[in-house]
Amino acid sequence: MGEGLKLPVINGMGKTNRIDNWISQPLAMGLALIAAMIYTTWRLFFYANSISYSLEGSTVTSPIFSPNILEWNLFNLNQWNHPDWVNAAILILWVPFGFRGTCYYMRRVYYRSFFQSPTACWVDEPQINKSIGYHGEKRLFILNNLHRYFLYAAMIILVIKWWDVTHTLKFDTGWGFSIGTFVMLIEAFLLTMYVTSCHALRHLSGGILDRWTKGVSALRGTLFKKLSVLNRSHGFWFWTSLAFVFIGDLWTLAVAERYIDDVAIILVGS
Amino acid sequence: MSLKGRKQKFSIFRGEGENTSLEEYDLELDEGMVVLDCVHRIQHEQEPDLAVRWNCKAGKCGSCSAEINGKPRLMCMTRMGEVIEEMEEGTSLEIRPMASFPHVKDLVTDVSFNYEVAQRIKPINGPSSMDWEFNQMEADRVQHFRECIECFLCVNTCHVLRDHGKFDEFAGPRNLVRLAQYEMHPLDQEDRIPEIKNEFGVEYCNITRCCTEVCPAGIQITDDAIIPLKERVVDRYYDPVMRIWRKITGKKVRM
Repeated sequence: MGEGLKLPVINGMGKTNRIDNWISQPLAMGLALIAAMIYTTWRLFFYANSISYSLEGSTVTSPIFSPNILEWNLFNLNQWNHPDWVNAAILILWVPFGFRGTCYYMRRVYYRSFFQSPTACWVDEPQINKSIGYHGEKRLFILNNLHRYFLYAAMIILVIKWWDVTHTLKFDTGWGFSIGTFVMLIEAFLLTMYVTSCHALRHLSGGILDRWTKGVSALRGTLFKKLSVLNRSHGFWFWTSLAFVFIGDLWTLAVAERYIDDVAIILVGS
Repeated sequence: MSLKGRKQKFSIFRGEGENTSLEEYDLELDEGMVVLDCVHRIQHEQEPDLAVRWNCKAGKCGSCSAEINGKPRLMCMTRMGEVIEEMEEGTSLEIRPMASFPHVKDLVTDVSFNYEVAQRIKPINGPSSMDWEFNQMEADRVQHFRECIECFLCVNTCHVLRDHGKFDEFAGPRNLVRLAQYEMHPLDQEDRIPEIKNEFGVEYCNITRCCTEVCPAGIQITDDAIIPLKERVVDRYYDPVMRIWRKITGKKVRM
């Protein structure tokens, strides 16, 4: 590096020359994630009841507990004499947790909000971050490189989520829809947008190639271009899809516990 | 907001070596002024030895980077009206040089680190004939990176360099953009992935996106350059399926 005296960056956690309200975003995002974690823990370990409800033969399942693999015939899972604390979410949630936890957008959020690395741009980090030394994603966070494998697993879950939406359409007296249909439909849609706007998917679809000439490579180039458009809003889809998991769960909980009623609208009678 | 006749205080970082301080100046503003206009007026009317680097006054040369009220910005592209709206009435507008680079004098810093790293990057190695042809989609991806004006605000902003001083191990966002530009070039035959991982330290980046937030050219540094480079490093070093595929197809790569 060239000669000259390097000016000291203002030292101390949260020290900065910025005059704007830089703390609000990392604080709000951190609180939102903490609230999500507390609610999920409560549902998983302390109140794993009312995870779905039946409405005239259709089934609406909470997004947290969907897919409810303990009801599947596959591998005789529905006959498994599992311990009381085991539920569908405990068996499945590692996939969305892993996918979101290694997500390139989510990394920004938790490095800022939880690790203060840095809390916000041009804001100094706490002394402990400097004392232990900075390694970026070379040591513990090297695990983030598993993101593409969580992506593959999330894509399987996504297909099942759409399949679960169809279970809300078939009633005893015919085909139709309920409010629960829209709850599950919106959740599946937002999750689809979140997954398809993923950086790893964008890379694997076409970004990995330097040339998109003809045939499959041209197709991959077009896919890369389309996914790049979605990718610009990855953060938006991250938050909306996350929020709707909890909105959907609250809806299911409220209907299953009879605080509110769902309505079946039959379009085609059987 | 009308600026005409408005009185504004400025705190400008002055001095060189150990002898530096924030100096106060008062200025009467005119309509449509940008921060660089104000610095020039102070230089013209009050402090002829005030050192400031500038050239085009159009956001294209990347010379007038500074930290305005704690935010790295181009002085020529920062409207006084917008800055004043962010400030409390009667407070001084603070202008400092970029904090990550060695200070030379007043608002001037030595950004030669970036040129030294650039010299270590292998240039594009394409076909020897000059009739290079590739389609528009391929061109668009790398053309985007050529919009960089080398203001080095992204490098100044990056906490890996700013807070942790990893100048020997990390290339900085600007040169990662350069690496992405070369590495994704449709006709380039060079392999830079081992250097991107080891010498240029792409894994130090923890995706906090400050570089993208600050880029005056609007380059999506994180999404379009750094993350794709990280993904290419994953392909090479961390993805077992890719390794097996390379074994099956007999493709040899440098590690």
